[in-house]
Amino acid sequence: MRYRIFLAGFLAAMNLAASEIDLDALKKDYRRPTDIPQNPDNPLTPESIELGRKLFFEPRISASGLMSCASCHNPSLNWEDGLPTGVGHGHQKLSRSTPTILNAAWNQANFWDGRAETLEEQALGPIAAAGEMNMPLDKMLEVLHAIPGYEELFAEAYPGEGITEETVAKAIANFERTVVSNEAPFDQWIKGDEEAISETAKRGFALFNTKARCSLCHSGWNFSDSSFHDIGLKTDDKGRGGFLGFESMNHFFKTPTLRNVAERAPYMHNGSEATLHDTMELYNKGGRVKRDTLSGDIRPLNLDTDEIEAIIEFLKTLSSDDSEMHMPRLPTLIAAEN
Amino acid sequence: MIALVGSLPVSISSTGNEGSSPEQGERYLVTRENGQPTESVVFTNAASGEGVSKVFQKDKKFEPTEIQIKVNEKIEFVNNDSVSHNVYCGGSKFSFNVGSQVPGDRDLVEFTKAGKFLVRCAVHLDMKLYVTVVE
Repeated sequence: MRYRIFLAGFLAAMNLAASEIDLDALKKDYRRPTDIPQNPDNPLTPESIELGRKLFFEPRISASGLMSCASCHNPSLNWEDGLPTGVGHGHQKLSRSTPTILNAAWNQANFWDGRAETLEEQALGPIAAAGEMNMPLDKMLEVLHAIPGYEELFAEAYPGEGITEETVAKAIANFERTVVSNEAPFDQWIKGDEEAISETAKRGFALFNTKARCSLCHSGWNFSDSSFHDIGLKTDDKGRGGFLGFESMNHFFKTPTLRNVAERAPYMHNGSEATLHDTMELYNKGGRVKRDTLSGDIRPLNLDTDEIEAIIEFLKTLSSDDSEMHMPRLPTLIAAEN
Repeated sequence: MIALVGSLPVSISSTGNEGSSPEQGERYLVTRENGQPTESVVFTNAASGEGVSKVFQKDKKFEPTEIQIKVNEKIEFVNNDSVSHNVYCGGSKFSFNVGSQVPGDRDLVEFTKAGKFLVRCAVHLDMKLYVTVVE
């Protein structure tokens, strides 16, 4: 009997925490920024962004001549591919899912294991990777030099620097920085429109920041602090531990943004969670696998069905009606002969 | 040479004590002002007689972010945060890795080489501590 009374009191306290939390103070942490973060060594310019856009959609810098960055980071699918794991050169299945480019300017680390800290460091990796675009970088430069239109585009974007690995990386990085999710109903609520999201979604937001512990990592306007964790997925992939050589960080993967998350299934580095309900079940259980590397921040949450539904309703308010991305016209060899 | 001296277990577990400050340990004193740790408290470790500086992890930041010590002195890294952290240094001249630190954990690291070292949290990449070690 004493146990039951204690439990009831505990649950009442948790509900109180969710409903009486100071939402106004919390909402300040989620305001949209007004500017895109830039790399001081690679300032955003219209010319570098446009060159990067062309390179992002350029299939001729792949070994097959068919794959571009956009083949996997598909703007029609929230800059992902909608697959559990990516598909690379020769249609081979890759071991990790394609992370979105959305709001990449705010990433403090790139790739699921965080091995590239800037977008410039990241940009050439998939082009050269044998399993992905499979294009040796010296061959990539040969291809770009052979298409006369690019010489002028590089000269406009990076005067005096030429067509180099560095300028290719800088241009792609700057284009990626401009891929930003639009204002979602959640943002309108943050700005003061109380009608923008439902009362259930507001309760879900409160739970997200309290009992459900999501905001320990999914924090700020982009809902990620770029941190790395083992959240208890069934996987042999060592993730960040493999990159750093730290056994204590085996199965650690980067915290992704939650912007447009309801449209970005399946979830996780290996696509192992098919739906948002599956993902909530994973966290509610405190992970599917218990092991030494499991994050100390992951633990059973004791969320009931209504609470889970409220959190999912809140997550859906993060979806924005984003601008459509049109395919760029690329310089061609035929044009060069005219 | 790995200079990790040892991980000091504390009485606070990772469950149910989010945001709590570590309690006073048996061997190491956490100096507090108004219940909060002060920055970089340098004091003598009575057990070994060596100087030990403290660096805290709080709100996903190191406190302080820069510190100067002498060769063979130690820094105790105290996780005073509500989330798990790590502390590592990946230099070729001097390196260490304390593994995962849940809230309340503390690790003691001896710096055996002179130089300027970047110490980081492998979980949160923007957490950076610059340690200058002088002869």
